[in-house]
Amino acid sequence: MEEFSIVGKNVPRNDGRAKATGSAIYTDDIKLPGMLHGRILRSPFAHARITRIDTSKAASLAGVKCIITGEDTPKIKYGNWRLFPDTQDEYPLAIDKVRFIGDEVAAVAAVDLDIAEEALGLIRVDYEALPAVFDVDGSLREGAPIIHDYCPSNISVNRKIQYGNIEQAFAESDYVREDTFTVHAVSPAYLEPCAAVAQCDLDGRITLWTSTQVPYIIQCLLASTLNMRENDIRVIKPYVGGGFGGKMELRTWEFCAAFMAKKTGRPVKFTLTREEEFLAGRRRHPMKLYSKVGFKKDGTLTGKDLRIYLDGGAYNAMGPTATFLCGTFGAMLYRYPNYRFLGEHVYTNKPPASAMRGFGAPQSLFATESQMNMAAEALGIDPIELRIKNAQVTGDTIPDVATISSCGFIEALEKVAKMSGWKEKRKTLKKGCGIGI
Amino acid sequence: MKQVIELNVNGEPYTVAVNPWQTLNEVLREDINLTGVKIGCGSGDCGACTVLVDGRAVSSCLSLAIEMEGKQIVTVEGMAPSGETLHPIQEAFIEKGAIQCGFCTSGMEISALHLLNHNPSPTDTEIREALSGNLCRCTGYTKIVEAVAVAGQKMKEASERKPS
Amino acid sequence: MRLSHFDYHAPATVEEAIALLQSKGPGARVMAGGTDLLIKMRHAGLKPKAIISVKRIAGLDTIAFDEKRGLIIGAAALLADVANHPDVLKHYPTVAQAARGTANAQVRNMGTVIGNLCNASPSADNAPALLAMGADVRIHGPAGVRTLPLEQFFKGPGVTALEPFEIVTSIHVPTLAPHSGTAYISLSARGKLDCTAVGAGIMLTLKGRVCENLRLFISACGPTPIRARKAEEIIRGKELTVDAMDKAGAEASWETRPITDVRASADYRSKMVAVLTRRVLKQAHESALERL
Repeated sequence: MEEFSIVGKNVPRNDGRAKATGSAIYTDDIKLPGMLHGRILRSPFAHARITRIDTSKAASLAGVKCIITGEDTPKIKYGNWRLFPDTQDEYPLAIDKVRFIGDEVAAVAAVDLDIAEEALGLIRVDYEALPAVFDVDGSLREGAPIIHDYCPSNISVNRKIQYGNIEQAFAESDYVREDTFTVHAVSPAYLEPCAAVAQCDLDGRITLWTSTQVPYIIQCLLASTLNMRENDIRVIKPYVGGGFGGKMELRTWEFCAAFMAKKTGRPVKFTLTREEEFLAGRRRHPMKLYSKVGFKKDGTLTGKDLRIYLDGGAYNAMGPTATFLCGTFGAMLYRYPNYRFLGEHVYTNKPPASAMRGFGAPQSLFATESQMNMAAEALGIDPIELRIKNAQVTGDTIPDVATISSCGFIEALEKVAKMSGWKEKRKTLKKGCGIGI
Repeated sequence: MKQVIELNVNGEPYTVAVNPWQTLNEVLREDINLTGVKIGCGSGDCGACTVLVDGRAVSSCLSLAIEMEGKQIVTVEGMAPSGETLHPIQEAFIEKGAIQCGFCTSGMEISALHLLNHNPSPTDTEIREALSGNLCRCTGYTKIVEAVAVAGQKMKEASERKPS
Repeated sequence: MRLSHFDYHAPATVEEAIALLQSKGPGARVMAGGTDLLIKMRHAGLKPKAIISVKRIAGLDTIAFDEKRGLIIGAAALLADVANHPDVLKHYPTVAQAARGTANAQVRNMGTVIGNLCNASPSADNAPALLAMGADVRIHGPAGVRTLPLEQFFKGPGVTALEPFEIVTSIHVPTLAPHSGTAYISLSARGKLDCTAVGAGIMLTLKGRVCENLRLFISACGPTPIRARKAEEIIRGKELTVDAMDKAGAEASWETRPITDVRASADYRSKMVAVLTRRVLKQAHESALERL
């Protein structure tokens, strides 16, 4: 085999030394002269109208330098980036209403964290509690509370894909099964809690250091939300302690750090606690999936009819992309000559779900793979053979979705069958032991 | 009321004024600027804040600074003998690819140091037990366990090379 | 999140600590390792006005064994030191094992056995075995010293028999009878680090082949660790058989009152009480036989 200088060699990572010695700088490690420390006041209600906010007592606490609420901001919404600008539905700080426990209501910047935390306790917010919903069935029920006034149905996004004739495909199938699946939320739980530090120079230009996966998107969204030019905002991504999709959007503390740095003329840092991450951090979408698949006797797939309701939480975040992708992934791995997909992104009074590792794929494919196993059992076909029979190959085209430009799925299935001793084990394993795919 | 305490961190003396409610983690990161010590959870679960106190691996987020008077503290910054030479544990972590996002690394290395100081040739199970209080969310545990075993080997070889 | 503000005291004697508790009133808390207390302050809204550390009190970190009097573990003795102490490993392997099974390495280097008991979590890892061995706690208070069987110490989740201004200063484990065996087994979702979802601790004494006496405690299946007396009765005075172990397991299941929470369902816990009862019976019986 040809000798390469890099491929096949053990190459130490570039940042290994910095990370091994503890000298790698992450956002919370940054300390600037005169820096203020920020904390966020969060809603204790899942759904409530804000009737009054009184920050005067907190503002008079010695060491408090700046307090802002939604009313102080330019009131420009952000959310999904340029792909779906019409789905932007989130203000940096709540205006009029809070929509989940942990929703951001106000921010404080003070000379130290102790004072900032004390100030949070001195802000008085009067709420008028509203009925709340916590799952898609509740949100879609007749007469359910409306979470965003612009969206009385609570369905903020939907996506449809259809090709072939699914009704006819099922009519001509030898075996059709229909199953309902539910999947829960998953926290990305990156080890480094989110943090942001902002500094504003005398010309009003902002530098933001932030723990993010997407510095350019932050620059773009921060500019629009602050009503500034992109040229006047510089975003620096220091080392990031994991993101897994959970650090893919502009978030409140990034806005607040920049906005408050501008207001006070001093650098401002926000660092979340682990509790805040679990309370209000982004997560993988819980979903309810209804999936109907048809097969011929010999195991050939005839089609799939997939309906997915994404529990998006209180705001769209990157949910529209997830809605798009779970339909895309639903049509993948196997050849479905006929396919119909309806994906609906539903508001609930929970923390917004967003991107996380696979971004729609794990949920969709959980249903796909479960049904392959159930169908294999019902049809009396080996589950790996059933998969190989229907697997997509390089060059396959999914109408309106994708062309598979490169794919080693069958090779992978064959290899895993061989390496695991699949065939022998399926025959010889005792009761209570098993092997599955 | 702040109290003035003397700490010995990585062999260097520090005099700091602390409030009783300040943790060792806060003092190390904010007063002494040793930001290699991380904070991941604040409740003793993740191990990113692990330091040695009088030779024992502890969670600096659950240690009160005021109780550290006169104690010997070692952080990741104190592991390497010089700016040019790394500690065998650090070398092994780099060589074995035991580092991804890096946020757990300093805590992992300190837990490994505690283990290897007491047990230079640990079994895989002993390594896993010693690192059980350190979470790696990038899920790179296999490489980390390999690195600790290699580091043990390196430390043993180094100590055998040393003239007695 | 920052800790709420408090005064810190590190008295040099038990008497001084009690005087401080009295002068500071109900807002004061005693702290040893702090690994439970600080978490309650961060996450459960506990805001003590004063923290009184017992770590500077001379002699409180003792771990001492004597053939006649048994084992003494002081209030400041670390979990890691109990787990690794040669006398504990030799004479009370189950006490060492329970200490080693508590939390993770860092917490064991900070936390104490007695802190684990005083936190009075129904799932406390160190409670079942010590209860089974008939340990006593020594309590210092304004009125002097008293000794209380550990069995009477737990009153509910987070609640103990301690009166105001009292401090547990040590725990005494009697010398084990020559033909006795002990065992502790716990289950949890992640296996080691997380809180025990169900646990069982036992001490069993043989006379010949007959189980002359036994004490069986189930943890995390009620407001406190629960003694399974009826299950004990099934075994007591007989030779240990598979049938008797099954019956005792089923009986222990009836005697506990598990709830469903994040760690496990009530149903799972009930089933596991039976399984763990059988396992600890078998294990303790085997180790007692070895010592016959």
